[in-house]
Amino acid sequence: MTTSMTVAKRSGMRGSPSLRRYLGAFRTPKGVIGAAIVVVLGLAALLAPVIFPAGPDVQSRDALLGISWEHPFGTDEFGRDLLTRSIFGLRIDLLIILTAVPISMVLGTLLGLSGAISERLGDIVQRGLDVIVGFPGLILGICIVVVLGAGWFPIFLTIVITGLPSAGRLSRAVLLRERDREHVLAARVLGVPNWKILLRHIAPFTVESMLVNAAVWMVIGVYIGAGLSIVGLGVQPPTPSLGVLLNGGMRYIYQAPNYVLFPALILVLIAVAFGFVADALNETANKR
Amino acid sequence: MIGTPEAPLLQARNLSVGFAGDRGAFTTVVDDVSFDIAAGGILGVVGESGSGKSVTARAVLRMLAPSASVTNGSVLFRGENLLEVSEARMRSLRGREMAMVFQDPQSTLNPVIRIGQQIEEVLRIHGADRTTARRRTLELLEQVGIADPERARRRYPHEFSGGMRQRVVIAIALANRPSLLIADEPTTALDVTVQAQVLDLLREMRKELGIAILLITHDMGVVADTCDDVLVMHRGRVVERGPVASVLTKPEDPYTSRLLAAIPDMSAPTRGSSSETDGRVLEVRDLRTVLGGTRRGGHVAVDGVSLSISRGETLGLVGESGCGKSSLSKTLVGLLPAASGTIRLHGADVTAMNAQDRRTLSDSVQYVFQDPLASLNPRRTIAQSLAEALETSGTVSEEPHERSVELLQRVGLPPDSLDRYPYAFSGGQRQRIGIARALAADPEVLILDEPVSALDVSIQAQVLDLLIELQEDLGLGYLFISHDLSVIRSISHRVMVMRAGRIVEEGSTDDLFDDPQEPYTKELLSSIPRLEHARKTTRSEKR
Repeated sequence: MTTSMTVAKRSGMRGSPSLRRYLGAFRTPKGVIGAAIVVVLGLAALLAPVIFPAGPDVQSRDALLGISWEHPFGTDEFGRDLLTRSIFGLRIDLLIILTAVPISMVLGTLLGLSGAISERLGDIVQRGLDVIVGFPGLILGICIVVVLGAGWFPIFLTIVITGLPSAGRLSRAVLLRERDREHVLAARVLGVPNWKILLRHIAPFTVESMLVNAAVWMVIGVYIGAGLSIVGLGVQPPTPSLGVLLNGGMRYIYQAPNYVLFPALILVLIAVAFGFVADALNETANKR
Repeated sequence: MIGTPEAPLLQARNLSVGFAGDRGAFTTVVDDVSFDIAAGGILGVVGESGSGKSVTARAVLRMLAPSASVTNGSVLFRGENLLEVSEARMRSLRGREMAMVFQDPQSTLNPVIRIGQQIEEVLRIHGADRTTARRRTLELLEQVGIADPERARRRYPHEFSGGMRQRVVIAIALANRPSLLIADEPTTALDVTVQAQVLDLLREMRKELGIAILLITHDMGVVADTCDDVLVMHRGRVVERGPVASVLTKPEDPYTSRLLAAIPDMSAPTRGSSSETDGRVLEVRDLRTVLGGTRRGGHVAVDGVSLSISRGETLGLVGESGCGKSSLSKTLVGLLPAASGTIRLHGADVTAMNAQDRRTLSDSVQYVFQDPLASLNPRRTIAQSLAEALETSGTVSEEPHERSVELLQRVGLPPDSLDRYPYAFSGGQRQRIGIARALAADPEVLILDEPVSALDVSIQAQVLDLLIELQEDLGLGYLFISHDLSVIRSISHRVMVMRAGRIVEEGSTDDLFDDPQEPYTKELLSSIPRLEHARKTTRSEKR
């Protein structure tokens, strides 16, 4: 009796749709650290215009300064404050990945679920996604820049496209698994239209894996964005992004190592933070 | 217990086992259980799921889950307390002196290792050399009734049927000539005819080898058929014990009586024939279903089946696993395509199962699944699931809530069930919800696909009563599919016996059970473990 009750409770937790369960991920040590870093960096980025009302482009004669109270991160070759520029750069980087990754996940999920419309369509879509997998993210980004020119939009587009296959495959796996489950058969016998079955009885089961996947792609997105900017194909100066700062700083790496160091540290920090969040979500979602 | 002169082989005294839960919680699942098994005796431990019977067996073998621990008691095996010996000693006892047979032979055997090798491995672990192991393997395979042991030795588990696999598992258990065999629901995953063979085998092994058997089961019929003594467990406690014959004929504990009463009695009167036979709702002619594509090479699961179901009538469909009964029912509701034949609903042909056909069909034919937990979307509340059924059937638009409450009351559930999720209910309650959902469309025929097979026997009886009541009130026609002959007998007006995709015999319940014509039907009927066996033997012994 007691054992069967605890079993029921446990399996119930798995099926329960409550958000509480995912929030539980943020009570684990990894989740707390990851979320705290994301929140602090996110707030700094969001409030950048308030914290630094002068903006990132104020020049001065003090070029390539080291660390000081006035300029905690030092200054660049035009005497611009690197802390200000780093935070404004972070703002752009976060803006790009926080829009591109969710869009990519949603589109990818839809593509993966297209197999529900017809078997053949699903197969064709998967082969299309295979082609995307064939291109490393940066190479794909460079191809897109060749066509569209440099700027933030190619970065955005590259992240969206490279994220599609993972989301598409994961959601297809869910579709194939759920399609033959009895609750879906039960809905079919009731005569529920196919689109409603997809929406109500299959799509909700993609949420767990997609949350984890999104957190993973945040990390990858950070690197794609920075990578394109470092080689000068991303966001164009004078607009700062972390990649742009790295690109600039590399030239002065011996005179002012702090120029590269701090933007790079921030970059690593976001990647680690999203990595932690992804881990925490994954462990929570797969806990039995 | 029944006065054996020498000391019993196994003596469990005041055994208590508990599980550590979250935050220091501790649940006792086996509470003060004592029993004896004499050498060569068969003790049945019977109880419903969660009664602690499997945990008791595992405690004897010291194979409990890490979170479980024995809190009290002793287990004496030939005078040696198993709970105190070293792990090394225990390992040598397991497999040599005591062996275990599990419920599912499929998952007990390693799928990628040949049968012979799996048996030899056990022999060699306990010190046999290669040639002895080989010879003993052949001997064992022959002993458990596998024909042509030399060939069987080289085969893989998937090449064997469920019953053959369970024989192999028993052969492995017997490999080192143990004196005690613990069998945990050894026949639950098997068909009734195969079950009879495996039980025969166990009895034979006891007679020939003199091994003692601890047989765990939920099935009183199996106990009656096989055991000398029985221990009835309920919520971790022993509620009744004694020789099978006296427990079954004169149960002293109310729980035992309830268990016995819940078993459909094969001598009770049947429901007779249906009073209404006028309104034929569903008519099927020469239906064929081919699995694995419609092209050549598919498996013919349903092969020329014809049937009809009228309002107020139950047609029982009985057959063993793989006979095609589920494929048939799935074809009837369009979950599988029909290869040929016709399905008519009130005379209208719906075989093509286009959108219009499906709509007509789902208005009057609904389906209840075997596993109610799997057939309810775990992320949706009962209210949402019922609302979906109501909305889809188009029977109600303005007051779905009131209609849902009404449906729940029909199946005997309180209205506050609506806001809960499927996991919050017990198996029987979930099946009630499954039935309520099927009733939402106001159907004329329900297809019930093993609706009580996943439930404990006392719950089974309640759900069957509900179904009979609903049939009488609403005039529903049932196609009742089951592998369980006693369940079929208690609810059906007419019965069809299916084998290998074909209907082999058909008739009224009384005719079919009292005077079966086909050899297969006779074999099925004679395989059912019956309580009467035990009752009859006691009576004759007493005289």
